[in-house]
Amino acid sequence: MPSPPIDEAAPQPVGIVERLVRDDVDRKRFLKMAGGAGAASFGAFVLAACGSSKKTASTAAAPVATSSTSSTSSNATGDLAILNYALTLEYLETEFYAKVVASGLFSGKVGSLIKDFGRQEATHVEALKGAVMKLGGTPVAKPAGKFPISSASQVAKLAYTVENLGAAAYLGQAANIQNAEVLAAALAIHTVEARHAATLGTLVKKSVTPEGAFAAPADMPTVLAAVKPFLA
Amino acid sequence: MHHILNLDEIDTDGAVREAAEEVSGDTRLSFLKKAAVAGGAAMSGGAVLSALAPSALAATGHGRPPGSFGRGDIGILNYALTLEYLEAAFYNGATAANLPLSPQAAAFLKVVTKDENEHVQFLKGALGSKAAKSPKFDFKGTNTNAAMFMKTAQVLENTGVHAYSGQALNITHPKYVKAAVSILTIEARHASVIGLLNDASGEAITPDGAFDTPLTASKVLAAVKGTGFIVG
Repeated sequence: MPSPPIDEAAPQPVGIVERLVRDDVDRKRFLKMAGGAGAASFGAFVLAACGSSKKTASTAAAPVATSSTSSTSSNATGDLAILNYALTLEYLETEFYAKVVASGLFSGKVGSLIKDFGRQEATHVEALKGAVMKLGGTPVAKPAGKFPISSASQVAKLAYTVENLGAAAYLGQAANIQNAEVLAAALAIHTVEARHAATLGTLVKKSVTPEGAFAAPADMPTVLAAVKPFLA
Repeated sequence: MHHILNLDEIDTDGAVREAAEEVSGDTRLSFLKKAAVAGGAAMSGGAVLSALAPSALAATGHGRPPGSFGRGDIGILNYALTLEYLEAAFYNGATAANLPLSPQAAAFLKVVTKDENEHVQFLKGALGSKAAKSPKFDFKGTNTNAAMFMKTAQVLENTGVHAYSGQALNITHPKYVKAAVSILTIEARHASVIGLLNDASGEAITPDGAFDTPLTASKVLAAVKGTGFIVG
């Protein structure tokens, strides 16, 4: 039974990833911040890295998550930083799907899939929060997101972009993760992001394997730059 | 069709159960015993959260392919290569058969045929003179009949996901970890697309829910042997 395709003829999605990836100034700024994160908490790092370059105060108001108790781990480096980074992305995805579901733009089988995907992202949030705490860290605060939601086609394409970014983000960290259990968890989540991305790709008639037979990873600065427009 | 497909459904001669008892010098009984010793944690449903518990640490590093594939990373790459040989041959046969597929299914076949052949080439290149030779296959008509092709492809792709994720933590060389995870992503993308085309349900697209479950090599090889696709 063929899947219900989504009408292609709606406004083009923002080429967010492509645009920010090519933006040298932004990229350099994020790379610098990533390198200079030092002892700052990861929460502060993410918010600073993602915050607008304009002078306006971030509404996220930097609830700085200081790792106050753990003597052996720092939120700023290593697996905890990666987990909190993943948690930030999953928070945004969860909020995105919640808003899409609330918009009522999707019904039937696609609507049901969108709900499934949203529930799975919420499950990832809970798993990652648990993982951060098990490693003795403090889960990063939930960021406030903002997402353009106008038509089913635009939203599905945005979801495709977001899921591809999520899959690439996990791929980009796989070789950096030290703890085997954390790696197992990241991989188990990562393939689900890839499944979402390819499903959406089919629905919006875009490539299900945009990089061909070998998926390309995305590093942290690239991903943070790409999600910046979705932070309120 | 609203249930998850499994290999039993394409087991054309009812050999799955018997074959599972005697695969690769590892009986199902001994597998179950080993799984019990390992707590079964990393290899069963709901694995991720329990795997994050320190008590489950011992569960990693299990489920390697048997020594007949070679030692260490070589063995894992040859195991992957064997599965890729199978997928590539299956799709090459389906392509040659000019199956009456829907446009979306035809597009899927084109992508997977290209990707799986590239995976074969990559792994052969990585292994060089240590590369395993391709087995001989008999797909028993499952890739020359459109309906059987669609069902079987879904099973094969999900098996690929479970096989790669089951070995990701066993690979030593970072270069191969990256390659395996990159290929893993692609298998997951393929699996979700064929799931969508077959059923368009959450169960078909994300059969394990929010976390993909790894499988041990002995389980994967038992399932593959059960199909009877490898004939020499």
